[in-house]
Amino acid sequence: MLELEGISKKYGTTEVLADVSLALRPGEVHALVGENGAGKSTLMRVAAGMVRPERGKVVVWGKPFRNATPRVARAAGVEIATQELTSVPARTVLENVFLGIKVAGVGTLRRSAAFRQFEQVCEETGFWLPPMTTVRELSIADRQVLEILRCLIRRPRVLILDEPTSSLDVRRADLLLALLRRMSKDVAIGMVSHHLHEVLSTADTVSVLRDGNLVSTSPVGEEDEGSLIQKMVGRSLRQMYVPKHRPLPDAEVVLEASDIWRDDVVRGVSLSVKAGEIVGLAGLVGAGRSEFARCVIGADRCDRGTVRVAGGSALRLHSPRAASAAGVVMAPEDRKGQGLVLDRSIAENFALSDRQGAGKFGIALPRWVNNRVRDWIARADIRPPDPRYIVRRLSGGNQQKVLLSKWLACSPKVLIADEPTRGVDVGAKAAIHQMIADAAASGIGVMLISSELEELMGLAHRVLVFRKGRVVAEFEEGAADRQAIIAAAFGTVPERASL
Amino acid sequence: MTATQAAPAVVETTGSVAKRRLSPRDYGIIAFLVLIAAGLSISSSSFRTMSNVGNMLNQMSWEGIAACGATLTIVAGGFDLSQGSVYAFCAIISVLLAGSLGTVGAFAIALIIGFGLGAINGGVIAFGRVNSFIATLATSYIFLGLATVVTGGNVASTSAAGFMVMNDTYGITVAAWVFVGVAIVTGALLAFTRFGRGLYAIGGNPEAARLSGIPIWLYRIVVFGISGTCAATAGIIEASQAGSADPSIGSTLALTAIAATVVGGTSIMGGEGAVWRAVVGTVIIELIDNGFVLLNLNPVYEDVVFGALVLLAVGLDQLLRRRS
Repeated sequence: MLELEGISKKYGTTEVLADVSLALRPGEVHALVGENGAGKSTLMRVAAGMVRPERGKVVVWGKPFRNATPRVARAAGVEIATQELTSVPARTVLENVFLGIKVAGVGTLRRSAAFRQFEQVCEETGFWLPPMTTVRELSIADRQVLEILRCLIRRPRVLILDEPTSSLDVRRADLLLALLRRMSKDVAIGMVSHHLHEVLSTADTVSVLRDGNLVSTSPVGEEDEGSLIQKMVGRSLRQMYVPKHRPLPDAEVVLEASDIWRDDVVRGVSLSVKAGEIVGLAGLVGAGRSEFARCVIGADRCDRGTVRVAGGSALRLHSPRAASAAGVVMAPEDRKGQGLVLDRSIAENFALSDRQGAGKFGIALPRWVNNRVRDWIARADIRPPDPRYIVRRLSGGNQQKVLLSKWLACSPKVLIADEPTRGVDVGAKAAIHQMIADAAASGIGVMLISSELEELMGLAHRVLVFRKGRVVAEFEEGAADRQAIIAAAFGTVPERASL
Repeated sequence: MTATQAAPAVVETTGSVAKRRLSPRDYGIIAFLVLIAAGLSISSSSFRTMSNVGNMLNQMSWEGIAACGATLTIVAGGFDLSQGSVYAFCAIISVLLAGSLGTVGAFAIALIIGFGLGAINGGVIAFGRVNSFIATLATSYIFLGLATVVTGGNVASTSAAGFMVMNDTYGITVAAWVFVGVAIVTGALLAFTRFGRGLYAIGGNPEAARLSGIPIWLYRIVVFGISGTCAATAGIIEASQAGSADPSIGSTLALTAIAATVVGGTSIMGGEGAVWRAVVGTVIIELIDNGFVLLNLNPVYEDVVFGALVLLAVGLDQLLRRRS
């Protein structure tokens, strides 16, 4: 059995886990549920030696991990199938399954042994993959199966699965859940899941995490969907939000997206945003909100669908450049990876997207570029207020302010803000909320994507809920209640059968 | 401005690029340059003569011009390994055309071809999604092969009047003036224009650049075009000073240009750097070359010293990067 004792973990100043204790025992499937960012995946990664906690220890059958690494955990019989697929695309299924196992190397001599072992596991589990196919050719679902087979081939004593069914089809999801039930007789199984019906039907014990704290651990028989949701959302920390300006009822529609499709991530989304309105998009991670936003601004190709900006003709914005020229801009969710050029100055980051900021014929002395943004720096209270300051050295909150105001400086008609307050401290958060509210009050249509329900309900005039690439619910201001939104996002009515 | 605040390191806005960040990274390389120059002028009296300085400027001109172009591509996160081939090809073209089109016509055509060949590189990289290192390695063979085809494998030479204009001297040679001009133009392009800022963004964070509305494909084509034009300019200088050209002349140019860029302190990772650094790097390399001659050192060690210098530059870059 695997025991987690008093685990605490911080990333920067954000506490992801606070003194969490949990035990995975053979004979039971232990499910872990919680909202986005509640700390579920981090906790499971700690258990598998992938993340080292600041405090607390991991004990496997009485032996504590010392200097935990995935290797140490593996040696102790702990296997984890993570959400991020970690297979090597250029190698075959067989090679990937045996990656890192010395005993059964995939050399010419031992190939038959490896083959036999692989076939045997396939037979036992009911899953099968063509062993000699290169992983690159596999579908995402197949890769997830591979991830699981890779764990099983090592005959783990503790098996941890992070969202194991998220990309599996119905048949294989059911197969996996049945397999977990069978295996749980002698293997300790931990499972993170967003699908509550799956948790209720498969698990024996369920633990709820909220904001890094363990809320409860109880036998599954004592819980139902309602009680789990209640525990997941019940939040003590209430924030003050700026009073909302209602947009005029006859305000112009500034963004009208109709029937946007992309692969099976975004499946026919239509929505509209009025001038001065803040439309919040709620949903679980991977529900297709960011992907939808990227389609709207042309960062990703969409398969179908059109966008109409401020009463213009219906068109497909084919590049972010075209989108910003049309007045639609996006502050992307990953501000370091996608939003900002970290090693350049604040002013230069502004000048990248602001065409007027480029000077005559594209020529502008640094001094001129710097002076142009002073006003924005003051307005957003970016600290230090030095346009020449390198963005990398700013705090997360100030970086986010740069990102938002660099787009506001382009005087857009529509601003898409994707997770604008992720990883930002409380003070900066309030300032960013104010910026977004001000932007809307000035007549910009805002589409706000956030994993924080408080934020959505506090800022948005309307909340749309995404689930599996679709808009599944819409709540007008006032009608939006936490429970209803969460229920829609989780799809409390088992939806899988209809897919 | 709050000039009274106790922050002596941050000077009032002067707009000068060099003063923006004060760190060993910025000034270390200049100190190094001054050190070598001082050492040479103390130990060799002939180093200090105007004729030696003019001579060095002339000799470093073609490398320096190529390094200016290389800086732009490296800042934008790419490499141009085809500079040497473009250099040879354009040198040959200018020699071959000098008789029929006159000197100016031949130079103009060679420059246009240089831009065109570079733009082809950029197009392959932008649309073919080929890594710039591989793409320009491949095209360098193609361009070199074409140069061999054009000359039939021989040395091309011309006796057209006025072709050897780069040897003319106005204080310094025309070639050296061209170097100064190219350095100023490319430097200004990188530091003072939207295009230049876009190059930093593409090298630093291509995804952010794209989402900010920068047409990356166009920037890539233009920046490699500029790199090709620089190589062509260097080729013209070489041809015009020798009166002849053959396909083998450019074999070391691309790597020397990259080395000069790196020695000057431009990061090989892209997103950082400046043209003045390429100039400083070129001068340092030339000083070492010059020093070997003036001090009667055994020239067989020159490459060893040169290689060690490049390692030192890259190593220091990594060290300072980790510290900051």
